[in-house]
Amino acid sequence: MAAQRIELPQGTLDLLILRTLSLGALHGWAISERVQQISSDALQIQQGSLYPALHRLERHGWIKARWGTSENNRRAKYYELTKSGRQQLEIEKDAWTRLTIAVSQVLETT
Amino acid sequence: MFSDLCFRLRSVFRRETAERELDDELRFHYGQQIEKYVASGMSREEAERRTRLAFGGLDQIKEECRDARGISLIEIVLYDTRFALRTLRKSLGFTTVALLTLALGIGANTAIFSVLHSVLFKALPYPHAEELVSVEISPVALDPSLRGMAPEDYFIFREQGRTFQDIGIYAETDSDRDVNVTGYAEPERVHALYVTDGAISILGIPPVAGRVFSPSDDSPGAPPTVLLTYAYWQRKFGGRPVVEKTMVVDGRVREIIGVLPENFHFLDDRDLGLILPLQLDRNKTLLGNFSYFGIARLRPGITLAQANADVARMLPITLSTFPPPSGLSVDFFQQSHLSPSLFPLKQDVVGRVGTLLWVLTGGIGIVLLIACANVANLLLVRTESRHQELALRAALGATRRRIAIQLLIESTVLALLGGILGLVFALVALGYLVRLAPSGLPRVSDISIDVSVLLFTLGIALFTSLFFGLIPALKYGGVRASFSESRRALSPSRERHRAQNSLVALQVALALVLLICSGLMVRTFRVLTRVNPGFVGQAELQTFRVAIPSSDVPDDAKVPRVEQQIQDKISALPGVLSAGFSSAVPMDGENRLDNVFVADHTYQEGALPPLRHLLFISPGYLRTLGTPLIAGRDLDWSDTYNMVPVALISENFAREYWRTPKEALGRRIRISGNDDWRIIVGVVGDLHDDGVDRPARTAVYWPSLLARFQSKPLRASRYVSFVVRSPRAGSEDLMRQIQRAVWSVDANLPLARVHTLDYYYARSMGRTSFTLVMLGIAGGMALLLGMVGLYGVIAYSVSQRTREIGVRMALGAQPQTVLVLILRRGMGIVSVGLALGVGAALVLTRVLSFMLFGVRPNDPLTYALVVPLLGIVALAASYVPARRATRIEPMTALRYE
Repeated sequence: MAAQRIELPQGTLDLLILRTLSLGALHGWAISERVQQISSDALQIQQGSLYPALHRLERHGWIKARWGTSENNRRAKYYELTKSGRQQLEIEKDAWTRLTIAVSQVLETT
Repeated sequence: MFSDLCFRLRSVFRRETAERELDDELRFHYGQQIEKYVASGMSREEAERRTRLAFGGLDQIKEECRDARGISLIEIVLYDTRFALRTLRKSLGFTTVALLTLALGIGANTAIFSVLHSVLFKALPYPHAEELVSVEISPVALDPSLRGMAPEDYFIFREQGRTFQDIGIYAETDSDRDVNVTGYAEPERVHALYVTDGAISILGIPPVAGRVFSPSDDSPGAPPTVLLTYAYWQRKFGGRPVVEKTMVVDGRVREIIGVLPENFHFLDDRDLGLILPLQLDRNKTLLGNFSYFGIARLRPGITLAQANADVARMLPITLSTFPPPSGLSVDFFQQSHLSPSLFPLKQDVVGRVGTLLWVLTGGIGIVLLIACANVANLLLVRTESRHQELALRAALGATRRRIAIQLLIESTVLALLGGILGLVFALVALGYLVRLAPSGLPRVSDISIDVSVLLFTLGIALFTSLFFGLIPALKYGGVRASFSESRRALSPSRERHRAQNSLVALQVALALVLLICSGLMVRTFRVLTRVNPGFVGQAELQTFRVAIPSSDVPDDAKVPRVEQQIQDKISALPGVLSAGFSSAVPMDGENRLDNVFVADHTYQEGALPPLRHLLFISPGYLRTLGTPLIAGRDLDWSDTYNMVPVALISENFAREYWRTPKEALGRRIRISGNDDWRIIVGVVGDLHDDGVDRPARTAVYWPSLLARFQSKPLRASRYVSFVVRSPRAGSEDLMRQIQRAVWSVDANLPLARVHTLDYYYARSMGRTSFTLVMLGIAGGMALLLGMVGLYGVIAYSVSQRTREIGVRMALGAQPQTVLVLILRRGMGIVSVGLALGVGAALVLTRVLSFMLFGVRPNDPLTYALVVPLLGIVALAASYVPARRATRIEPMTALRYE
């Protein structure tokens, strides 16, 4: 709770999910935990937007789901990146990088 | 793309599973979160409270997840289908009319398609039927329409052919190839076929018992054998084992060697009972006996052209291998230019009926178009009245595409339901159709509704739904969210009327085409029935056929005595006016043609005189038919018994050579150079014995016993058809008496082909009457549907213009003015339709010309009758709603506001 929360800008949620899943299959809860953890609690994904996003990504075919067993032996739905999801991640990463560079250029120019 | 589809499919078909999974997934997250809080030292209640807070509305998340999954086309289809069914149930009147119209259109088309499919498209029921061909030889220089196979060709083709797996020939099945089966309670005349040993095995259908013929059965002098068809085996022997037993056929004991299976039919021969080996003797074969038909199985991969070339190669070999019959030279055969004529066996079976079926299909297809136009109009009107509903949907955010899909789905549901009803209708109609079918329609028993027919029905149901669904979908798919312009407009928009009017004009035009076609058929039928067939009172003429086997009467010269006894006994029966017999009765399909020379007439070098129809008759036969004697005298029994060289000829034959029939008397004719000359003692009226639509054939009538005739020393007529004139013709009672009379002369004689002459007469017109009835039904349906369409559109326009008419009447318009106003609209549409229809009919009826007799396709009388008729009916159809318009009370009309 120490770090200040940042509102997620439009369109970054997909990028975060894809990026997180690029390290391996995770269930929904673990995705939000991981994002929070890596961003040092700066980014927190609300359940209300996480699950619709996951279902949307699944429909696009970028991630696919399968049922597995969690660390504590419960049935959990794991998501993993598909091949086209990996491509999509590159595309979105690129777009994000270009956007941040562009934005910082604008900010730094005086 | 594919995964997306799978995903959507799963979300539809596994809706419940998907819901449960979503629930599980969220529940898991919920549990994890609580445990995380508990692990960090929170109390369980506190942890649960916080998690619940963080989660927000669970249902809302779920809803958003569902949205994220997207609503698929399939879901739209399912949803809209349910919706369509509901709306259709709600407007029962519309649904009933639309469904009945569609069922009529689709059903009629399904019925005619199943006929077309079974008769024309389906392969013959033999393995590898595509390899089977009909093999015939045609003397092109003599007469290309003559066709047949001769034994010498069979021998050579079988021995030296390079393109055939095997070849066989069979003897014409319908003439005197019926045989007598005796030795059981009653003698029986059975339809039989003579074949060489290959003809059955070529078809590739193994027997259910015993074996089929082998070359040893077919060699001359081999012990006589016989094959039974399944139907005959069941009828005669009740399915008991018969192989290696014997039966008496035409007085000869034959061993039964096998039984063919139930599904075996020799080509289209459905009444076949027995199959007998032909047993041709190669050493006694002379050239030119073309009274057989050939059937062959081509080697795999061989084309018709290759096979034709192979046969062309072998024809000269045949001519140099076998001797010509006496009186003819090999040169004659060479000059007649024998040519091969091979074609697929199916063509042989189907024959000329194809064009007729296509014409009928076209006719019934027009009915479908009219039905579609009707339903399209109904839908247009209905969609119009649903304008509000559609506008509301558009206002609520339905896209243009979404509304179009909904309208299309409604029409598809309608069409599919109509298709199902139509299938039921087709099943019923097919029963009548098969019963109505002319005797010439082949493969009738094959006609059934199978998978391809079902697919066809589905196809046209979908096609029709597109046809009538697209019009409203295109028109109203783009409906704007505007409520105002709906009902309150003074009169409906011109544009909408244009669509309705063109549909009705189209209906009128199509109905006119069909009515003209049926009108032409009616005219043809009338012309046919007015043709004098050459006999009179055919309904009072009882005919039947008898064969006198040589086992009963070995002496040829005695045959006429037996026949005269029968004739006398029958003539003496009460109620019988007269009786006689002949080798064939008119229109029974018998053909016996030969070249007849006239004495003292010079023929061109090497040319043969024309073919004449030969009949062998008893004294009194022509009188019984009612064929007039034009000059000279009839034959008498002393001519027959004393074999006096005399003959009668037909009037048209006489007029070919002499100016008047009288001049023919005393002239001489004969067939071959070895024959005696015969003196013409009488000239009789022409007989249309080939059918009234054919010109009367020139004929020669000979006594039934002849000496030195057709190069034979003695010729008796063992196969004869009796004709009995009696007011009781056709009754069982008369036939029982006749049977007793025949059996009092010879108890071994079965009676075959018991029909009145009217049966043959009607059968000869069967094709015309079948077409007439079918086109008549199509025309009637078209007229009915077209008028319902016209009525509907006028009635609708009246209801739309109620207010306008009310205002007019309030301002002093006379009812008559209003009547004219409405009628003018109807007749405007109708006259456009009629003009279009006449144009289309002038082009389309040319297809029908092959069916017409004595009437031209552009027959002015038919047009002069049908066009006003349709106009009057159309006037009546618009008069009823117009009349209603004149009764509108101005006050009531205005109060509608």
